[in-house]
Amino acid sequence: MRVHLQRIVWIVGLLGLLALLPLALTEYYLGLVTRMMIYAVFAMSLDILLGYTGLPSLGHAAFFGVASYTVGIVSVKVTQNFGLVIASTVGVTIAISAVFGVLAIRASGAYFFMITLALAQVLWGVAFKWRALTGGDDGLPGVPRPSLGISFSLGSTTNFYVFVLVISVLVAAVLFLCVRSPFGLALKGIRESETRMRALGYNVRLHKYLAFIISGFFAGLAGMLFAYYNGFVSPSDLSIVLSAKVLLMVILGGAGTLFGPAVGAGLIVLLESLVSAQSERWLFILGSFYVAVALFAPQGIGGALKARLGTSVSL
Amino acid sequence: MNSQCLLVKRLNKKFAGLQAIRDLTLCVEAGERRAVIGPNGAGKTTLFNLISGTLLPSSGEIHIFGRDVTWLPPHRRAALGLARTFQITNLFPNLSLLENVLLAVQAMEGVNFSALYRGSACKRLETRSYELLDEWGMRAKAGELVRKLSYGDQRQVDLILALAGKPKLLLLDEPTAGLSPAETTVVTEAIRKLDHNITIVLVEHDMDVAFSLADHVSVFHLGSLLAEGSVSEIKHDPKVQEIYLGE
Amino acid sequence: MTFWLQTFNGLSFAMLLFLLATGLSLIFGLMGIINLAHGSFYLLGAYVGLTIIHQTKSFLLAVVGAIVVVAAVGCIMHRFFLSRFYKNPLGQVLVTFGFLFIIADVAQWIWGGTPQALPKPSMFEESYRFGAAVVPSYRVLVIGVGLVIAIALWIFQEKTTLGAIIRAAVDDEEMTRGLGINVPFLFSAAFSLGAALAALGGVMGGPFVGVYPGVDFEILFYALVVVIIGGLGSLKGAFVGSLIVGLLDNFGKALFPEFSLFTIFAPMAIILVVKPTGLFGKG
Repeated sequence: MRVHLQRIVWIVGLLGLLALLPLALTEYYLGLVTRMMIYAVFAMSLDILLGYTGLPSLGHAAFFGVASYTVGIVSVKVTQNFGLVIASTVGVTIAISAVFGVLAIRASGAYFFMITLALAQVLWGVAFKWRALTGGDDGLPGVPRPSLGISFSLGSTTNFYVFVLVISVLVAAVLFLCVRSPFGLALKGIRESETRMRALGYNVRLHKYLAFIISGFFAGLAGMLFAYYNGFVSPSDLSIVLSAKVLLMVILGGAGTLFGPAVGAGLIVLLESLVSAQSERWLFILGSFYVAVALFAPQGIGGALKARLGTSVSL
Repeated sequence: MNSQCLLVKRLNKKFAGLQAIRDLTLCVEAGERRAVIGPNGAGKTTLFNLISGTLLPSSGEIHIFGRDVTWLPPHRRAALGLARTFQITNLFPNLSLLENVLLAVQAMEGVNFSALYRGSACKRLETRSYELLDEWGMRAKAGELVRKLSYGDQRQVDLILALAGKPKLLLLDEPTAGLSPAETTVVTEAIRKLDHNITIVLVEHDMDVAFSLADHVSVFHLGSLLAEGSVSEIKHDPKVQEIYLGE
Repeated sequence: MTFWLQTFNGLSFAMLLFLLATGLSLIFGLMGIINLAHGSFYLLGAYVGLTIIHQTKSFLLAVVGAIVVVAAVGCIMHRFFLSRFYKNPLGQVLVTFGFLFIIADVAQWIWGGTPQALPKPSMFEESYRFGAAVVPSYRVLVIGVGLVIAIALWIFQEKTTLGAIIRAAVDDEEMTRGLGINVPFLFSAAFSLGAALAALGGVMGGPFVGVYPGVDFEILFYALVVVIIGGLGSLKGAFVGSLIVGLLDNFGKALFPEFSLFTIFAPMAIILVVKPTGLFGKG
């Protein structure tokens, strides 16, 4: 399972292109690509759970939103110290993943759907109602860009773009190594047959729990980046709509291909910005898109590519 | 006591309204080859599920190598040296043959957590997986998706996965089910050649296979033991003939 | 005094949740589908009922009309879009999410974004006095309707042939097909029944829950919690679960409005740890 030279060339080329984009694009489009990358991280995190372990979470926005809210609340009300913000965000995200994991992992199939959705909705409801802490449905504006303590200011679109680019690439690399590791293979095994995995001696429940936490952690990372990108946190960071959107990104890109969902994320973000510029009926179009993908492309782009290449060993 | 591999003591399993296993006591010595036969619905697969831990008993005890495993989860029993095959194909369909074997090999080597990355330990696992495939003459198909393999090949893979962990107690659940006569011979011979240190408990519908591989036979009927003995004793037991002919 | 008022409010809300949860549970039990657009049926029912009341001043007509329209929508949704995803949960998720968004947007486009409430039927505008408590008669009506439907469904499930057929199909779809029963038709009919119940809930809930963009998500959430607590595929579970959630939520909102969600979260978490399939759920 060596990575072929051809693939290395592709990857280097892509990275080079991304690195040079600030020279070619206006601020608006650069911001758009930044958002694409943030959602790519979000989508890849869900793929670990959905595509690799076979656990379809319908409430993944919970981790994204809890992180973005932590960033918002801490930066606006407590301290802007980047280190402290990160520490508290990581802490809260992992804590929520751990608790939700305990509640959700024992369920399977339809129950898992329902439970993940319901848990995310609980958080949404809390954010919506606890005005004193979260600003209620008005949200929390004025989240400042973090200062890294060096002369590289993240206030400018270009610099923030580079910041997000570096983090996204690191995340992609880490997740790539993770899914190609024995642990990643075990997750795929669980997706294919839990009973066989148990018979072989794997502690399936522990694996699932770890996958849940890892997935939640990276979703939280995306949420943190998003809070800084947006400068504003609101209940929509925890909404069903967002959970549904990231699910679509994964399926459209191809569940279980890791980079497919990243591409899917880019496409959906692009589509959303194009359509909402033209029409108010973005939700209707998004909904129709879901039905269309279900009817015509359930394997997604990545899945179709994999079928063409005829191997499961690629990613 | 120390030569006892598997001990099932007064085991009961009740599903809603159905007593699947009734006050069963069974003892298999280490290194023995035991065939479990009986008409359909006699409870043979349920017994395997209870021994492997997939199901928990209503009452009774199960001991493996002297250890009480009655309430241990399946993966802990596997760590003690238990392996099984499945009556209905239960492989990893969308993974390649190599990945299937790799999963079985890496389980017992204990690398599944310690290596979150791919290091040199992985090379070793891959080598061992290829070795296993070579032993069964399946190396050429290593890259193929398991769901695309023929049924006969899949039954072989079932065996390979069970053997990969170097088990000490092997439960074979109808290993020749659905195989052609030629394939049946291949699988039967492969089982016969297995290391005699491995204790084998074999559920089989094919009596010829069962009698040719076994040292002793246990006959099941309606969830309990009807008869037990050597192959020739069972062959000539009128009670056994009755339950089969009466079907 | 407020205790009794809150209890009646909680019970009437519980009956609404029962109407929704029972449909959700039926659809799952029969077809294995988690209908994420179930809240949308509530929303549509309420809006259609609103329009009919504005045109005809008749609450009864609103109920009938909403049920018919939403049952039709449900039938179309299942027959042409969902049925092909039998045993394909991800496909079902995509389709039902899609419809959730489509219906939400269409509703906002037609009826606008301002929250609205249905007027109560003229016969039930007053309140009754129970000792020192003043209870709106409409709430009592809702409780009554809920109980009647619960009993009717129970009789249907346990005592009628059609109910037996549905129970058989839940247990073993292949066998039921083999007996010559038109299972696809049965499924679409059951889906429409679930939608109809949700629509009834929408109209009945219109006067006190109101209807607004977002009520579909909110009521779906409550219905899910009911089913998580009560168990999927069980009428008894839907009933008991609705009582628990309806009463707890109401008291929670009355006592500590900002944290009322924790009164829902707590029982849900307990069930998930102790019995993940719900109180009366089938494993």
